[in-house]
Formats: sequence, structure tokens, C-alpha cells
Amino acid sequence: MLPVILAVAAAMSWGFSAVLVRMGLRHVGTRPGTLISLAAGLVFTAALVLVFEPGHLSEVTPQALLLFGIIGILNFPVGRFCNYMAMNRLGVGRSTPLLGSAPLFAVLIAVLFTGESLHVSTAVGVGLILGGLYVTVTAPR
Amino acid sequence: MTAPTPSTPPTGGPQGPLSISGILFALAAASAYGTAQVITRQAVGGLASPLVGTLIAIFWGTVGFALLAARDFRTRGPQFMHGARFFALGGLFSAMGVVLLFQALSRGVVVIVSPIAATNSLFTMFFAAFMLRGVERITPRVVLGAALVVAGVVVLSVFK
Repeated sequence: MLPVILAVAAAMSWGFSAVLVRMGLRHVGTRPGTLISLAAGLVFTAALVLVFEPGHLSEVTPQALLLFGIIGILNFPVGRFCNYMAMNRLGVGRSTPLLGSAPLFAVLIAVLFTGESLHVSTAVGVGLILGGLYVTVTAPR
Repeated sequence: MTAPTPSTPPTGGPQGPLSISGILFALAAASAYGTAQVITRQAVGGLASPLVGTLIAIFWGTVGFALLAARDFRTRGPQFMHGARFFALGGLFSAMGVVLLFQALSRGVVVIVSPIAATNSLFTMFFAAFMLRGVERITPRVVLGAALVVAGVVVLSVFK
């Protein structure tokens, strides 16, 4: 039961975060806002590492620095900034389902570049996501 | 509603005409997140603990973005500090979500945890309906779109 509660709490945290950012966008531009949110996340994560895993920092390899650096650049300056720009222009109601389609891109990349096979269930999942994107984009304003 | 700061040029906004650039930004973000998911799955297993990995990723992300955005702090609107608090809290809850997800994954199985985590857009709709009343309309059709996307992600997570 605990993993389910933790997963629900994670989903609620992200949902709440998106609405807070939408409120912030009424007063602060997207670029400074993105940087403020990143800095807050950095301080929070650094505090957790210092409290719970201080010894792990000295074990970080150059390879880990490089790969997590690439993931960080994709997730934050690119992903989060574009996410907030979309939220600013579409509103949180429309941008959130579009952002939820990230696994669709993960499937496409995995099939095209890493040789993962495409199953019937994958096609059904992709179809549902595309249907959701269509319903969201064509919804009357 | 307060006017946007100079660094946020007025756009169609949530109630204006549908912004094609907004859709493209959302899809660009989704593709960046999706690419990062594939790299994480394929290449980083065992390189560092999830928490330390998140710290390294967010560190580089913050440093990289600071180079682009630091000068924007020179043109601060009158409501800057008010808005900054929302962004800081947003960043905090976002990071908390990542940590909670890692904790869930370390205690449970991915086919149960991932689909539940994917429901975050439904929580966004729920919170927005209360907290953004008068700012943005959450219509049944938008909720249906989010539910279909969540259903698709659940199918991809459970039956892969």
C-alpha cells in the first residue's frame, strides 16, 4: 500500500506544482520563473542528499556527471522552459495533457533508435494518447 | 489580473485564440522529457543513486539555464516577488514529486507505480478548477483529453 500512497503523493505534487507555476506566470516572466523554480528544486534536492546520502557524492564518476548532465539539460532548460512557455500560452488545462504525451516520444525514440519492438498494446497506448491530444487541441475555448 | 512583466510578451493566453506556438512548446517539452526517459532507462542504471542523479541533473540544468536567464532579473515588475514565491513553491513541489516517485519505485513495482504517477495531469485539472477559478476554464472536454492521455500512458506502462 505504501508505494501506491507515495505514487499518488508524487502525482499530486506535480499537479499542485503546475497550478502554482500558472499562478506565478501572472506576475513573473517565463525565463526568470523557470530559473527560480530550478533553484528552489536544486536547494531542496541538495538538502535531501546532504541529510540522507552525503557519502554518495564522493562516489560520483565523470561518466555519471556527463550522462546526468545531458539528462539535466534535456529535462530543465529545454523541457521545463518549454513546459512553462506552453503553460503561459495555452493555460495549464490545455498544456498539461500535451505534456503528458512524453511517453509517446519515449516509445517512438526507443522503437526507432534502440530496437525495441512494437506490440499491439503499444499501438493501443499510442492511439489513446493521440486521441487525447486531438480532443485537447480541438476543445472549444 | 496583473499585467505580465516585460519579459513575458502578451500572447493569446489561456482564453485567447489557440496558440500554435504554445502547442509546439508543449510538444517540444514532451519530446525532451521523453528523450530523457529513454537515456535514463538505457544508460544510467547503477551510475549513481536516483537522488544523487537528480541532484546532478538539476544542478547542470540550473547552471545552464542561469546563463540564459540571469539578465532577465534586471527588468522586474512590481509583482515580481509575489510571483517568484509561486515559482519557488512550484519548483519545490516538482522536486518533491521526483523524490516521492523514487521512493515509490524503490518499494513497489514499476507497473503499479508508473501508471499512478501518470495521473498527475488529472490532479492538475482538479487543483486548477479550484485555485484558478476566474483565471482559466477547465472544461469537460479538456478533462476528457487528459484522461485519454493518462489511459494511453497506463496501457504503455502496464503492457510493455
